[in-house]
Amino acid sequence: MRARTGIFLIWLMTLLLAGWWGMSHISLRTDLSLFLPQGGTTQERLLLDELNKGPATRLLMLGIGGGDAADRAGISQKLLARLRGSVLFKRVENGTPRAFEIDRELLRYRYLIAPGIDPRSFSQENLQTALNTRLQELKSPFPTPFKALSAEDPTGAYQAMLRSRMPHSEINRSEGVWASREGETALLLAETASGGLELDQQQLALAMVRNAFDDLNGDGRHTLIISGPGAFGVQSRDIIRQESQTLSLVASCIVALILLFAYRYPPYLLMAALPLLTGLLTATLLTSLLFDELHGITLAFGVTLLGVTIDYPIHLFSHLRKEHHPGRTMQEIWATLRLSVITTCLGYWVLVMTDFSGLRQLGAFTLTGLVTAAVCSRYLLPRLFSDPFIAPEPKGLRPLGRLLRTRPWPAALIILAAAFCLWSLIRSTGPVWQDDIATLSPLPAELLQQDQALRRQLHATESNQMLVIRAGDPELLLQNCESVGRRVRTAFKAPLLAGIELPSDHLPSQRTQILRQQQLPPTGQLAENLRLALQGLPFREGVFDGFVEAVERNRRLPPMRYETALETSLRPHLERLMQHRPEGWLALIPLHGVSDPDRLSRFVRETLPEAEYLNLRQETSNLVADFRQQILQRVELGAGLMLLLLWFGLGSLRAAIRTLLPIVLAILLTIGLLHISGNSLNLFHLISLMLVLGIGIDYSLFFGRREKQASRHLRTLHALSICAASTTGVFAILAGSSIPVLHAIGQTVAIGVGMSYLATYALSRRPLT
Amino acid sequence: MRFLTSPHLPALLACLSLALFSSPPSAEEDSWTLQQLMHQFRQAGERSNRFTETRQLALLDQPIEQSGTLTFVPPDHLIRELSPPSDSRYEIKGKRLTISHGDGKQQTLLLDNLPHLLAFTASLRSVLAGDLATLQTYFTTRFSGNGTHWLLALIPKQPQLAGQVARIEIAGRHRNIDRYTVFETGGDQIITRLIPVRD
Repeated sequence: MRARTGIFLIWLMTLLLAGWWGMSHISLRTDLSLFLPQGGTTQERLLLDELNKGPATRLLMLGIGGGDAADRAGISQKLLARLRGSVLFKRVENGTPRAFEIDRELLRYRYLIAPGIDPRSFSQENLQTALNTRLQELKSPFPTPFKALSAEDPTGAYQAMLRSRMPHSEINRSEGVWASREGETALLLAETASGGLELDQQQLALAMVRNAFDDLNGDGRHTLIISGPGAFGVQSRDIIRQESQTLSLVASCIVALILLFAYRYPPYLLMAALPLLTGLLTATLLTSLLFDELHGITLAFGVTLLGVTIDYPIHLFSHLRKEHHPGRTMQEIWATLRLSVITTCLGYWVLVMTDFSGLRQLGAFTLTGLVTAAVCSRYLLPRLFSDPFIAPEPKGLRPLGRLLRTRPWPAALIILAAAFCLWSLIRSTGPVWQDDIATLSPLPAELLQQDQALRRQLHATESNQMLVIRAGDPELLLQNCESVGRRVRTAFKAPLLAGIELPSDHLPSQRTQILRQQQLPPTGQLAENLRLALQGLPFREGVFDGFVEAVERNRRLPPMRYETALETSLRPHLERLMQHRPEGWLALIPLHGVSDPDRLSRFVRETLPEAEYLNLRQETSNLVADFRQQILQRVELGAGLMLLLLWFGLGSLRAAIRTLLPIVLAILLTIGLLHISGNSLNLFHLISLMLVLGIGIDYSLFFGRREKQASRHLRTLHALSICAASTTGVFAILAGSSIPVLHAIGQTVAIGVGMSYLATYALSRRPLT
Repeated sequence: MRFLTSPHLPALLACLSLALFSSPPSAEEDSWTLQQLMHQFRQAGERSNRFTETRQLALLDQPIEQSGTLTFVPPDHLIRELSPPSDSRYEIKGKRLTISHGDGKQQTLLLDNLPHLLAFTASLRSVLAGDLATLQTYFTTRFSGNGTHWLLALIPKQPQLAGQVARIEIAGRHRNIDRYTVFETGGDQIITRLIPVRD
């Protein structure tokens, strides 16, 4: 008795110590990029970068409700000031027009960079039209900030430049700040400094917004909504975390209840948990040492996959007999258990060989955990029993005995059902795979609708499609943008494309500027054109002398370079549209309102060698499909290896096939059932099937054991029934989750394990009586 | 000192207070305030004025003259129509500004998007509506005169407007505006004379 408590305490203390060390030393990574492939081509890398931290992922939309419009506008202004002061945000806007300030440098360059300047702009006719427009402006009953510029810029070039740069002017305003059209919500746009998938950083940004708002909302009359990719990511993570915690607590209780019911011996509960916990801890420590980090997803899935190790002690408990010490019983079942563990490990070993760092982690984690739990069950677990140990008699042996004698599940039924599933899968016209990861969002539909509504109000429609233009330096990039823009705009007018914004619209290339300089009229000619244009107009003589001089100066200016433009108010626009990367310069042009993506894609491929068309959603789906394809290949490889191993372990190919056949049937039944009930399979179903495969092999091997006595056969059936009941119970709970990922895993494993149990039982040979 | 304690003192004080507080007409009108003017404007209903506007602008060698009708419908509807040959019509209702020209072209602007215009429109609309609170949101007011003749000077508070308009002066009699003058920062002046239309 003393030895038992001693070992038990030492084991528990070691676990606690290791757990404490792990908690304080291992930091979990939470960004999802680890589960995306590294990206072979530059296009793939670009895509991944956009998905990870592109401007679209960094957008947060804020809505302030409650109180009256003036209060909301006040809070909006104060919130704006606070957020602008934070390093967590790159840009924050609430629609307050910036004070009208003339950028002297841009004004100086107006005839070289303003939109719409061409040789005809300075003809007598066009000058006259421009002068008449200025005269009309002077007659307007309202003061205009451009009046001061009328004399030096009668053609309105600077005005045109400002107009072209005015974004969001169509967003509704109330009390001077953006507001929903119904006016009940004040709106702000914030761009976070961190990428949308960097969830920890996003969480900081969200907390900053909420704290600032709570400070301003002292009387509690106002409400705040935050929407956008980052907010969704953080919310999803919280929901998943919370729900999986609740569910695993419920699941653990169910396992405990089943164990209590099956053996009526409470110490078994801790004994069953110890190998599992040891496996988990070792896996966590070793994986983080091997990879220098541990991903949250690895941990979450790993824990799920290691749930199977609770079966090891259960096998032992059911097989215990009064006359034998547990150590001896363990020795008897070890050969079968060992083969089962090694075969399962093989399945995860193939994951270690993939290109995805996340999958490699998952493979290593599960492998370590399985081996550790098995070794603990073999060598440590039996030492926890006192010597002699009076094993409690497992409950429910009698009804199971009847089940064993009567065999209500004929093998033919299982094979027929599996054949039917196969037939319906082959005949099915619906898609078997679902690669659109957006369908896996755990967020309630109302949140997504709210997001859509905010986007409509803020005219921030998500753009899944973009044009990528490349070049070696900024000047060449601007030149490329000009030519791409010209051709796209000619070929794709309004209903085909909602219009595009290029960096060259704000800053023409130096080549274009030089071309414009050559086309600007010389002073004498301009003065003459102007004199003729002014005839009959009431302008004072000489007021436009400054204009004539300005055009002449523009003819001699060195063209404005990209670097110079960055020091003007063009900076945010250029930075938004142009990027410098190790592989060169590129412009990312969001495309809105594309009515025929295929046509645009073909057009870009065939006529624009300097540009690429990128459909983010399509490309993401392709990536996921690749990922899935790779796992599938690995699974095939793994299955082949398993067959070899079983052949070797069982000593005959027939026995190996006999062992695998029920599992193949079970998996077929599972996929068939999922498909018939209207589920498209995704990645998570696939990973769950790996777990089913491992569990199935365990069942099949134990059912296939040649037992000397019927009573032992009964005990095997008891062990497997308890294993199947607890696993199915746990995953059925998971299947009840509202979160698509958890639902998919729970559903697959619950059905899969149930099917494996039925199939292996139905196909197992009759006991020798 | 004897004088102060003399029995004549109460009578003297009575005379003094009569002189100060009994109401000769001029005294009452001296105490006329902006509040009272605004109160009068609030009492008035819909009204129309013929207007003549003279723009003296540095850019032009001669002033521009325009004329038309200005109609105010309480509480916040102001219409400015130019006489032929011009056919421009400006209408402000609530926070919407609609500009229409004879060719059928119409443009609606939201004043919330144009804060300097929102401030500017208050200079005339809030006065006609008698809405002192709004007026003082956008302008510092200086009032002088009496019930028959008064002058209200408005200094813009809104920064963007202040960059363009130095001050606005409104001169009137009773509850009629006679002259509305905008002094721009660049020295230009826009003088609008108004004559009430009686139907």
